[in-house]
Amino acid sequence: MSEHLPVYDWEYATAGDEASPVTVEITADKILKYAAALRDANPALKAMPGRPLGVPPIMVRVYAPLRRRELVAEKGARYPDHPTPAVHWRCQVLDELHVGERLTSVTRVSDKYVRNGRHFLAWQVEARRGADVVARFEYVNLWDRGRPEDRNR
Amino acid sequence: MSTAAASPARFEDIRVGDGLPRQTWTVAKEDIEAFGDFLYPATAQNPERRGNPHIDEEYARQSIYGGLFVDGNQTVALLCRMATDWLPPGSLVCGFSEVDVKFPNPVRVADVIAFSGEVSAKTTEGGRDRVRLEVLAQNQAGKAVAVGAICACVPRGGEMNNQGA
Repeated sequence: MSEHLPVYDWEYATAGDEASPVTVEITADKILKYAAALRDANPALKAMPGRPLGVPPIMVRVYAPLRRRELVAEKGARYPDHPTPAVHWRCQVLDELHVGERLTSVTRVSDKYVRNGRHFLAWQVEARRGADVVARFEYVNLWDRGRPEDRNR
Repeated sequence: MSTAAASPARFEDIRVGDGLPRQTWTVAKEDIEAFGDFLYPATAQNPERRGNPHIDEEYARQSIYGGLFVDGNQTVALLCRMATDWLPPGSLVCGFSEVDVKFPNPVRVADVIAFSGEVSAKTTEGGRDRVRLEVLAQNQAGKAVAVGAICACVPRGGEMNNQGA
């Protein structure tokens, strides 16, 4: 039963913790859904015969999924029961990416630190085409429960 | 930030100091839900929906934050949309780009968010043209909710996928 597992809190987390790899295809359907959700009129995100779709930076969250919950489960723990707001978002796309290609990514805890008395976890996802890293995503979350004053921020 | 410059057709038309046209977003729950459906599809097995403070309203209400707040991914996406609305066609979505954004404050339903940006650098390296934009999103109280930079590759000749050689 998952409620008997330890919580993957800041103390439990270890820099270097890693999830098993996952392979995801970049699909036109998902890019079109992105454009619709954002009401993004960028012509590069519209299906046109003979022209490849562009791949927006946010698609890193799809082709290189963060999979924090999967990592936590693989480490024999359960996910915290409070929100973990993001404080930093960074993505580097190191090559051209194409609809139809399949990328393999691995999620890891890249760092944990304390700042102003608050506890943060940094996550990194690297997406590879074969042996080559083609995109790198970094995400930092506040891993504490939050403070009463956060309600009014 | 400087005054908005006309949309450049080519990399050569971009000037350091050019301001992007400001965009505003009055945060509606429907917008949050639409983005949530994109990023966290409502499938039976998706573990990312339940207990997600961006789409699970009851969970968010009972948390210390007291209600839904906008997914940082959505704020970044809207900063990127502001950039691509202005940059030459195919920019930022052709690879070789970077986005780096911090979130000093949360975005909540009914907030009015103003997005702005300015060109801070242009570089040509390895046969690729890139432009760096300093970007900012502020709420109606003037508090920064997202601040950072977008380094966008600008395709030559307005075509995509010609930057790889």
